[in-house]
Amino acid sequence: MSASSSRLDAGGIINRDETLKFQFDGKSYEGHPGDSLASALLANNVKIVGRGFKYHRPRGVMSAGQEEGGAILTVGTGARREPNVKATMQPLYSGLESFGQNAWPSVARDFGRVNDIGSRFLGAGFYYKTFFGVRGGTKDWMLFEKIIRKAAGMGTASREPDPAHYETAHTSCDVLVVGSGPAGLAAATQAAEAGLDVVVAEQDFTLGGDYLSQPDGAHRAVEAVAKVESLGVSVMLRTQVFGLYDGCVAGLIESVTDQETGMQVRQRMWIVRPRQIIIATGAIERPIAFGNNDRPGIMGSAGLRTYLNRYAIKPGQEAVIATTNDSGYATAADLKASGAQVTLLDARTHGPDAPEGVEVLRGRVPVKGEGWSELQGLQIGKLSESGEVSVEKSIGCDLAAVSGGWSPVVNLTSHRGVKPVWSEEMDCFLPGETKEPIKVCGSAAGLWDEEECRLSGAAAAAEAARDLGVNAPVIERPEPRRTNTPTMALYEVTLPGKKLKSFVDPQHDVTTGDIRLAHQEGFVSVEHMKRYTTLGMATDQGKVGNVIGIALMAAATGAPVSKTGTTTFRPPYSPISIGAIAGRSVKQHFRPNRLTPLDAWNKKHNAVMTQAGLWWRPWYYPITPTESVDDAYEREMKITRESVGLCDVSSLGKIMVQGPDAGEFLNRLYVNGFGKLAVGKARYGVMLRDDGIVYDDGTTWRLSENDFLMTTTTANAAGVMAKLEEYLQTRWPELKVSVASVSDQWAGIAVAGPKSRDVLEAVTTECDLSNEAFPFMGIREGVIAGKKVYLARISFSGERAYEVYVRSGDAEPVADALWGATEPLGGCLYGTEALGAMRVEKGHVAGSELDGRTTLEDLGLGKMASSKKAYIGKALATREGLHDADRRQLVGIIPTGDGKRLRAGALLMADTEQQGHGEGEITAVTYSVELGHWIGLGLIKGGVERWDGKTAISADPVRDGNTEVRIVSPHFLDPKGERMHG
Amino acid sequence: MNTVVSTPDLTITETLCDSMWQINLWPGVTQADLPTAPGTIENGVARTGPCSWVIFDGEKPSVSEADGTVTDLCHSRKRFRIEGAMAGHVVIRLAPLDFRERAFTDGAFKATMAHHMSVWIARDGGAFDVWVGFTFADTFRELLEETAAQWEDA
Repeated sequence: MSASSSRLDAGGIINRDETLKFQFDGKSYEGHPGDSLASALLANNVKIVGRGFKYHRPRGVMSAGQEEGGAILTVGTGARREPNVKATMQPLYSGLESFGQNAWPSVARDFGRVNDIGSRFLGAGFYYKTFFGVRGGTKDWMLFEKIIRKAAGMGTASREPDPAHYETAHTSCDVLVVGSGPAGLAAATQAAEAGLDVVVAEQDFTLGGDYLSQPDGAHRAVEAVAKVESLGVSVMLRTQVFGLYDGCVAGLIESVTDQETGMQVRQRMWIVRPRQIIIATGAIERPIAFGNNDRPGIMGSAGLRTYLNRYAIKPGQEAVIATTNDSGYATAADLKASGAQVTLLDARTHGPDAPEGVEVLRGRVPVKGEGWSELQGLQIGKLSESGEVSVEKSIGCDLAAVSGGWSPVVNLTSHRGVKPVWSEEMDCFLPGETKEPIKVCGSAAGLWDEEECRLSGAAAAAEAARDLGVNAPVIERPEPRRTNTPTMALYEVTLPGKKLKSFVDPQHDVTTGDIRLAHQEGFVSVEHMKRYTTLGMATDQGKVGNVIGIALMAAATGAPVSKTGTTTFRPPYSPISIGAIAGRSVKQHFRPNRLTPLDAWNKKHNAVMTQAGLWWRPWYYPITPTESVDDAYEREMKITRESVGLCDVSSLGKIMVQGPDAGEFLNRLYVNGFGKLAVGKARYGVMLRDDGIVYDDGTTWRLSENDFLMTTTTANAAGVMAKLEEYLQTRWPELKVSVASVSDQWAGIAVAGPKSRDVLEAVTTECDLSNEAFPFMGIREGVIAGKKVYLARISFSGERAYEVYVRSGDAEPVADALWGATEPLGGCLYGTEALGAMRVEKGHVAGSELDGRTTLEDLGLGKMASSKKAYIGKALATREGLHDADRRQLVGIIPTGDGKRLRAGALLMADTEQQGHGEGEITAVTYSVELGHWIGLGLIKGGVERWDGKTAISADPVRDGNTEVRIVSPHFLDPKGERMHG
Repeated sequence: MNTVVSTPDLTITETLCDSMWQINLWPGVTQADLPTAPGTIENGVARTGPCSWVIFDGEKPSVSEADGTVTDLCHSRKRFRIEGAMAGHVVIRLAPLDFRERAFTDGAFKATMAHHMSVWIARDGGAFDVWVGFTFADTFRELLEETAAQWEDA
């Protein structure tokens, strides 16, 4: 530590045996374990640590806690740079690098200070009224806006990806105590002694709260903490309770480490579910607004006391303490004891006795801080009985501490919709009443005496225990009360006829003048005042300035503070990182990755994968490193149609439907009949929504008299399962049917093409694969590579095809066997691109046609629907509007010009009228290798019949422009299905 | 069986459930060897819902058509067994359940969500078993490995 250090030779709760080196703005300094970054800077006499938002006035450390408005720094570099860190809450560590913000070239000497000279033009809402120029319109404003935007903001975030790890954890307990000061520790002790499971969350890096601010507080804190720990209470340090939520749920962020290595977690979000919550969050000291009250060297009185006693720092030698309440006296006494010269200004004419060696000037207030960059003196004034101030003299000083009263931290109850209540008697907002299992104690409940705080904590805990049905004594709760020397309600010092630049919100440079301007311009509600002036919208969220702003607005409107009210505090209590909220749900874990049982096998065979919802499916299998997806899918289509191809279709939904009423259930579900489906046969089915619109399709197989395997589309698997369960539980509970998802159980491999039977014959045993024994839509069992399989002769491609279903863990050997038989035949593997292309050629509908608007008739499937049975959606499917001749119907589309391509999503328009939404749209397209040109499926009013012999326009102004097309049957290849049945 | 994590305080293994059956009984039908209390697992049989159980081992159970159904679920899940001194620390990072011993006792069995995946979790003495769908197992394993790695690097 340098010779000019402010560190006292003894005292403090710091480890003087160890030295920590750190940096601020490129200069090296030293501190100790137990220091915060703010205390370490003060110890090294660093006075200017920041610059104001608008006016770039120099700022120093203003407090010792979460309410800090001056020492807002950037910590770390590169990807680990974190802006807007409150130096008061940052524990010092070896190698810490910190930087001032919002200044150039540095906070010590900032050219931006010129803004202070022009500050009268930069008041609240200035950007709504200025910079419009003379050219009219918004031309000039658009230029100035860029400049203003660049100047705005505090700190710069890193543009590099955050390398840190975060996670979420859950815990439950009987009692969550928020805060570890006298009230919190007493509450934790009482609750633990009652046998309850207790968690204490403390935002600081040391337990003890207000104990730590007192000269003899450390040992009391140690005793209280030891007691709590001996009772098995779980303690969470550096853990902020950022919000309270429905169902008695608390959100916490734990700062685990600042210097994580490897996979260590940097921050952890806890979701805590206590049965009772005890809020012991204390109170935050308010300043007084007076001239230049933002000068470095002016801080809160309580903060100063903390620096003296917790960190052993005396940040000045000639000090003035200005107070409106008794707490300033304790600070004066402690400061005097450290060897400083102390003058105490008490705005009241009556107060406690003067501490030894301290000059007390009663009825005196601070008027204006003096000094350009740092405090050099304080102008003081006499406060008359009528409230007028007259300047008396200037006192030379290098340190001023101010106490304008105390504000209980009511944020957490406010999160629960409990409005704080103004107490005229206590000159503060107190937490309102709540019926939820939340108790407030200590200074958070408006108590200032330490013993009363402890009693209050114990009482709250005993009450919580009794609410949980546990035996606990009845302890009388102390109530907030006015003392013999009550706080004077003084929020601002003004001089008649003189303007002072007095700050209410130092982070956003909001002055008392801004509050009055808001009133003058009609923004008189607290909500409007907040947004117009930005009071309370910075990282301190109004912790020091809100009450002053509200009181000034109340005075301006002539309404009492109780009627003026507050804005609503919402989570988070203090800024939290988005990384901590995201936890492990980032990068590849942003959502779960659902891998088919053949995922590794596909990748071994060079599949390029694509995401389909949560699934990763093979998109195509390039045979050279440079083969494009277009070349690949055309090749895969060609080979499959001419020879054979294998495709991983494992992602399809699969549901077992079982029971004596399973057939009847399926009858009610599908538009076509399933009750009489023979064992060993499959049938294609379509199911509707209740409103008659098509919902999903798939094949259902009858495995035995009472066992069916239903397949669904990949996208709707979960939705269909949910519907089946809903129908069985609520509509037809009398049916003896059980349903179970087996999507994960089975891997599915399509074997498609003229040589598909050859492949299966080469590898399958215990199954007759002849056409006679195994016709189209048959289901059989067999064995491949020693594994039991189901074989279904079904086709999505339109070729002769089978689907092989094998248990997931046995998939790879079966795939190996099938590929071993396919490759020698010149076959291929094909992915979803070719799969989708082939279904377009066949005119099979899929998700882009089952779009939630189409009916059976629209899709050309009207004849499937049974007229003899009831099924879901039948009644509403008869609505007139669903049979309108003008409805869009499924068609095929081909371009009239050679070499023209089609685009899915293009609108279909009549030749003569190309405007609006047109007559329809293209839903799916592909280049057809077999036909030698592009084709598409789509929906168009009136269907094929209306457009027979006519052309239409495919309109795509965003991509390819207009293309002339013909509307044709959607079944481009083998319309009679001869290939599938062969 | 595959070992996912092996440290002095934590062992996580992954096993394919190659024998797994679901029994559904029609309302009013009871079977003596099936646990009746909600959210419990006894002798490898878990009550997964009203009238519904999963048997985690053994041969296909026998249930008459008049009484209910048996569904083959073999290979549909993988089981991750988490044991060791840090086992409790792992599970609280998976699911929003009260895993304290008094709330999640030996033999407790719950269906819940872990990292956006449906899972079953049971306590077996000091260990926890987590069942995940086969197709989610790779992602789940990665998350367990990442979770455990923080203590190896601490």
